[in-house]
Amino acid sequence: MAQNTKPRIAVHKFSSCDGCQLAFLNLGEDLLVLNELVDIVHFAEAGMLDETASVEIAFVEGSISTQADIERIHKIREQSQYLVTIGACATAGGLQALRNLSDGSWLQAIYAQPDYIDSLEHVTPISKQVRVDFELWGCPIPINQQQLVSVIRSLLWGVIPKLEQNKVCLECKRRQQVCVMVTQGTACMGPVIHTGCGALCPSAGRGCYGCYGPGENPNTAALGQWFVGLGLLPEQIANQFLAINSQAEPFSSEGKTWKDKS
Amino acid sequence: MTGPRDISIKVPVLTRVEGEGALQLQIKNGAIQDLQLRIYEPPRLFEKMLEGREPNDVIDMWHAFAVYVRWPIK
Repeated sequence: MAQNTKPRIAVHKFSSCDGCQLAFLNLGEDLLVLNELVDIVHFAEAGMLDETASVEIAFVEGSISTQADIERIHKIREQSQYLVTIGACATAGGLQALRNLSDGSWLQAIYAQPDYIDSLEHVTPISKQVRVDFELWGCPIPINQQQLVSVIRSLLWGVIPKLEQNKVCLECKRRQQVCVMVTQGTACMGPVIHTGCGALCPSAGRGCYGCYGPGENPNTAALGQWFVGLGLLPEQIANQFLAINSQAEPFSSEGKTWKDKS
Repeated sequence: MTGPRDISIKVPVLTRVEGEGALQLQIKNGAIQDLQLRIYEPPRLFEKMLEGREPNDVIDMWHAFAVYVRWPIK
């Protein structure tokens, strides 16, 4: 493939911790292979800066939290053929979206002069602002990064990327991992969460805290009742759903239901 | 490295810090003429979101505050 015909990709950052960009950098040798397949034209954390370049694939990390962010994401959408969100912030608002559930007084409570801070009242995932072609879940995106590589490969070859829909529970079964909820009475979000992490937390003997977001048809109401059976208080159950992916349905509504009961 | 120097540094994106920023520094004849740090990513208000949470929830949340507290670098 000639040098000047290589597809171009960009990695953009909004409000986030930079972790998903670092997942890119942590690809190691795969990053070198990727660099042969595509031109990486904008990727601030890696040093390339060309935010206004037109690209075939734009990866977006982080959630929208300022007026300038809204304008920037619309421009990115216009100049990109495919827009792929990476991570919990871009896909479901991330931790910072927890302020959407507050009474709006958080900024005033922390900063003496909040007037100097340019910030929207609510944090929104990218899909609330522009059309998103694919969403990669996880906080950060897959620890083994295979999902990221396979999405790029699929898009480059004109194939619709296949995203994992199984729950963490199935991953535990595949690994013959003993269920932490049944055997230890530990609250675990595994039954409603997308797999992709390799059942990392249950493998370490603790419950899943849901960083990969809701899987297909999650029965959150039934899981909430399970948590009651394990002795969790309504507020604790609400906190299970209202965490890293609090803006994703049905976690948002399930969490609020339990919050109202507390 | 002899005598006072002129230095001009302009970093449009300061990455790897919580709250993206920009830095501009002008030094003329060894004296700072201009020094500006702009943090344009708004705060994410962790101080308040942690209120009322279990100690274990904090362990699950802190890793999402800033990337370099969480990632093992290969």
